[in-house]
Amino acid sequence: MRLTFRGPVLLRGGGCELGRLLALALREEGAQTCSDCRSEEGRAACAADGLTVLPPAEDAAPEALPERCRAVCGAYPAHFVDLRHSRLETLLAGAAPDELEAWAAGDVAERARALRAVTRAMLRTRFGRCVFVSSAATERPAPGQTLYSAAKAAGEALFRGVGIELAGKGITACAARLPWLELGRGRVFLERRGEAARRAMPAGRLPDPSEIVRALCWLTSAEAAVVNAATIPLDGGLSSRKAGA
Amino acid sequence: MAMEGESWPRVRAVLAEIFDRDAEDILPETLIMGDLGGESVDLLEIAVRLNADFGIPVDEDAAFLKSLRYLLAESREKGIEPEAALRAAYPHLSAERCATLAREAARPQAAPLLCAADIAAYAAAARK
Repeated sequence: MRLTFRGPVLLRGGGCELGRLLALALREEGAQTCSDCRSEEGRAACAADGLTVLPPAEDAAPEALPERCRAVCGAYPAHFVDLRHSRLETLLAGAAPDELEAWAAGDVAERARALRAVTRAMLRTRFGRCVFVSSAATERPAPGQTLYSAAKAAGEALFRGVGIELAGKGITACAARLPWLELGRGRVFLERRGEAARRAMPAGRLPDPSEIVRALCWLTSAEAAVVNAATIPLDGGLSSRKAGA
Repeated sequence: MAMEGESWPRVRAVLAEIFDRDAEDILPETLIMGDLGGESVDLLEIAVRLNADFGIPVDEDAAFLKSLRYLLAESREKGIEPEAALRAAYPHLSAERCATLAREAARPQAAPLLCAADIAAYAAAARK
């Protein structure tokens, strides 16, 4: 089944390993992709993979995202995947006040601003498909993941809200909760706790990143518009299994 | 309600497209909520289209008279003439229109009063 993409796919936080794999898979499906990376390292990694990247901009505010995408791709984003997240993992009571302010600004407010800007651009053509990459930890965080899970929960709520508010205008959205993956910062965790993680999975193994990427590809496409205002577990059954069973 | 200038036909075209009506059916006095069944998401779409098509920033509060009732209640509390309060908040509207709004909004159970001409007036003023 060939998937449909009605315009550029903008990947926010697209410099991470998962973002790059997803962009490459989307391109194989015929999509025009555009990766937005916070760091020079992310931009370089995308460039090394041959991916189109938003160049650094003087105005890097979330509100400028659609225009920056248009400057590179010739059109406003029609599809949007948000993978960005900060690295902050700490006990809530151990976080410094200024860390909490930065967390709220970066992991919650900026996401809302980016989603607002992108969906306003999508309103012009009355089509848009938005996907938020969330985590199985949203519902069941480990100690130290309180802020991470709270921000993911906020992201899920934002994307669900867009799906409720704008579906009548052709803009749909969903979130996908991923399990541990042998990619990026997940790889670091799995080096220490890989066996326990595999035992927690009903299949006794972690999903291959390519399995997750295929599912995300479909969720990003126009064909998945019926999956709207919903949070989908793409976790191999991890979140459905009784702990320790 | 007479309309002049190039803003009106363009605003009318935007409204016709958003509400899937013939442009000829949209009159200056057409009520966005009452006649066209507009909702908040439609106002958002109108704002986006005005911004894109006219190249103007859109203050949705002013363009869509969102604070009309609040302004009138506040003017009563502060002893300010309602029409004067509306003229200050909505400089794009005529004195006559502000007087009408103040009068009509004071009626119990008054429906939302935003009409097509109000939006065209906002667009025309913002383009100047």
